[in-house]
Amino acid sequence: MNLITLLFGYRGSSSMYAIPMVIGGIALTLSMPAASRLTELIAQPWHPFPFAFFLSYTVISAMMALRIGASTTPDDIHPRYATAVLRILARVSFGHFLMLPLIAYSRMLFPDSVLSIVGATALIYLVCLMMSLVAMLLHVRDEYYDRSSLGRRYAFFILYFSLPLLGLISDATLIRMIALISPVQSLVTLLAPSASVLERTIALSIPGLIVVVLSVILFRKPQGRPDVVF
Amino acid sequence: MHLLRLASRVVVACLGALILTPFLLATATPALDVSCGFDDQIMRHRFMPVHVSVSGLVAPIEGKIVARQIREAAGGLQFPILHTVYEGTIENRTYRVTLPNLEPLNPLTVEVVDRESEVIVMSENTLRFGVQQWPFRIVINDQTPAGISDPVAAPSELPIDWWAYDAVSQVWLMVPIVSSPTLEALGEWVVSGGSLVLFTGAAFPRMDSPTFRKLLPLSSPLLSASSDGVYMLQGDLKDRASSRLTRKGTPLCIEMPLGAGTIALVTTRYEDLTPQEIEQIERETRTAVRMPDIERILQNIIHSTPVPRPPYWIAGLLAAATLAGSLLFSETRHFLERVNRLRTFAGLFAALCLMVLMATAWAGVYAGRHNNRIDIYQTNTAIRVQSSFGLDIMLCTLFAEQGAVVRVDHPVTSYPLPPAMASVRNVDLSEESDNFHSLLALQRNERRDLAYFAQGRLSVAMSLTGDGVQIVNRTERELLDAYILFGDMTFCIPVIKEGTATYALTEGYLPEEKSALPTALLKWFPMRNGTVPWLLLTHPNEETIAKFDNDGFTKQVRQVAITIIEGDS
Repeated sequence: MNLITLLFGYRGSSSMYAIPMVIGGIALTLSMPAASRLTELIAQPWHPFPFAFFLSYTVISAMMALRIGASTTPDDIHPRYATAVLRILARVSFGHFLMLPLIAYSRMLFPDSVLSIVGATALIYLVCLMMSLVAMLLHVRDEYYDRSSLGRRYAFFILYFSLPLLGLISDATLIRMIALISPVQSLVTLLAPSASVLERTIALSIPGLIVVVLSVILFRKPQGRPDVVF
Repeated sequence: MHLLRLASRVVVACLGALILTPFLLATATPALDVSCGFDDQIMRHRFMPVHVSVSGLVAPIEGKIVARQIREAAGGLQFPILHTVYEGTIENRTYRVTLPNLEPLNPLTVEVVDRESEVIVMSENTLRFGVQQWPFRIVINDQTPAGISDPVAAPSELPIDWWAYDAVSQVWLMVPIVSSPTLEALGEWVVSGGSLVLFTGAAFPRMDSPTFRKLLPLSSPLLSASSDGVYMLQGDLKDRASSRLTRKGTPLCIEMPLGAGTIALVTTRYEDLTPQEIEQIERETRTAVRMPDIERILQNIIHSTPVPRPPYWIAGLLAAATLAGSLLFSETRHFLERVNRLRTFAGLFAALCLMVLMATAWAGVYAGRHNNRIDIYQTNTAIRVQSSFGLDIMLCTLFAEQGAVVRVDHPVTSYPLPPAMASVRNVDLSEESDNFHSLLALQRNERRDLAYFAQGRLSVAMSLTGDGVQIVNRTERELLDAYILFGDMTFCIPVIKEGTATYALTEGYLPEEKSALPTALLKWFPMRNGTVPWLLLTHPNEETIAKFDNDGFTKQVRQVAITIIEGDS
């Protein structure tokens, strides 16, 4: 398999890379302040939400990652999970590579925090990898039982993104920490200048740990059969 | 018997000492006597003269005199406004200051505080009984003249800051003012729009002084007695002076515009006027014109102040370029696969990657250089007016994108006057000021306008001659881009040299980018009425934009200056 087939050799590959760029570009453009004169700034002191670009980037990339994961399952030519994991890694990495100009330009919105941008980008990358791996496993399992994995994949996506946010309802610090499981809260924490090192570490380590654990398990499995994993 | 008498004297002396001791102690106790306004009359949101008399100090102390007002906002919120009246060695004397009156319904508390912040003496002063709704007339006299119900102030009580007359609509001067700075302040107030009525007649010889002559609408005053024995002042009328009232053919009231204000000369004493004449004078003389709304003047300055922002189109361009590159690549891939040119395809892929890397590097460098977010915007507008008297007005607008406590160095030694705000909900109006700086607590998206006033220095004079205009430039530098406004006409003088020179008048126009502020000032200064020429210096070199970190906040300061000089026709 050559690199080109690896990156573009699956159904809808171009749109996988294009959609996050379009949505991210629009979000970044809208995040830029509109006023050019002080009168306009005073009359309409609209401060665009600077997280908008990263939030839209996270959500869209994660949705695309679900599709990449479902499209990159072990097959007859490459029956091993390890190969599928490497293919996912390459495809997700290329998608993020194409987003690099926009990520670099987003420094306009966070002038004092280059590390925050790096942290947020790393988080999005890890979340996408994790989503792809989970989507791949769900797809393999549902394919085995001859049913569609679409509903299950998106249900997982919605639950993973939104359910932990319920922790924010509580005043207790420990329960509020549960919200960090959600990529949305993790992203906000990483980009907020007031976040502690512990919070940042937790925000990054949750998807990181899941990716590492899943990869280790999948690398040790000989065949891409669902009964081996589930 | 002798002993008894001695004993009784001792007893009386002891009793006397006992009775007198409290009084003696009382006189040694520090005391404060504070008086505000003219004859205790004040107006809300205007400047007022404040006299703080310190007495009873056994020895001078190091400390400061602080005036405290409480300003109230919607929702029952209270904000302290602190003004340091004086800082240094405090002794038994009267300290004079001109303070903005922000909330007359609350008492004004004045404290003498030593270096250890211990309050030595405090005085709480109720201002609410003297609050006037509208500007009022004051009479300067040693005693209240018959038939007058206006506030009366003695010459010794008058302030030396022209902006202290902020709440006054008209000043009737009936007695000599010996102090030249006091008279200068009255002249400056007239230039700023004030209305001064001089009652002279037999009192003129005692009133006469070089400064008084500058105020007088007559160029060669001469006192002469009329047939009924009343002394009347006569002489040649100065340019623009005109007689408004006469008595048996002799001018009784002569009015002369000066700057934005007017001076009316009544050629007799007040006592020598009939009630009908007083009524006519009241009717004929103008009341003071105050500086128009700061908001209106500043609107043009704020409008032309740029806000640095990242070019938003670049984000779209980056996304579009990368997207176009990817789609082009994807489509080319299909074609190259068909014609089996995979080597070319690999080259194209490398070019795509290179393009993305270059775009990333460029975006990163560009964002690094242009990510100049501004937290606080400040525009300083200096308006210098020069006529027979000079005055400086500094207007400052602050706008905070982030909530911050901002330190503002005063451009002149005056306390700032914040204009009334339409809405004060959730705004922290607390303020701490001394003569040199203010600390203002600004909320996010809060705009605060401030006005400062000062005496001006006369450095340029102008008069029309037969073949042009003569300009005396004592600024020790060349002046660029000067304009003369005379009626509807505008003349340009590219360079005004140092010293005295005559310039030919070349008709031109005021460029649009420079006309905003003069146009706003036309509502205040009659620069287009055609009676006298006005010289306009727009100071193009002083318009700068500076950025610096101020207590962790990035602040952008814009300086705009204009000088307007009233000439002689």
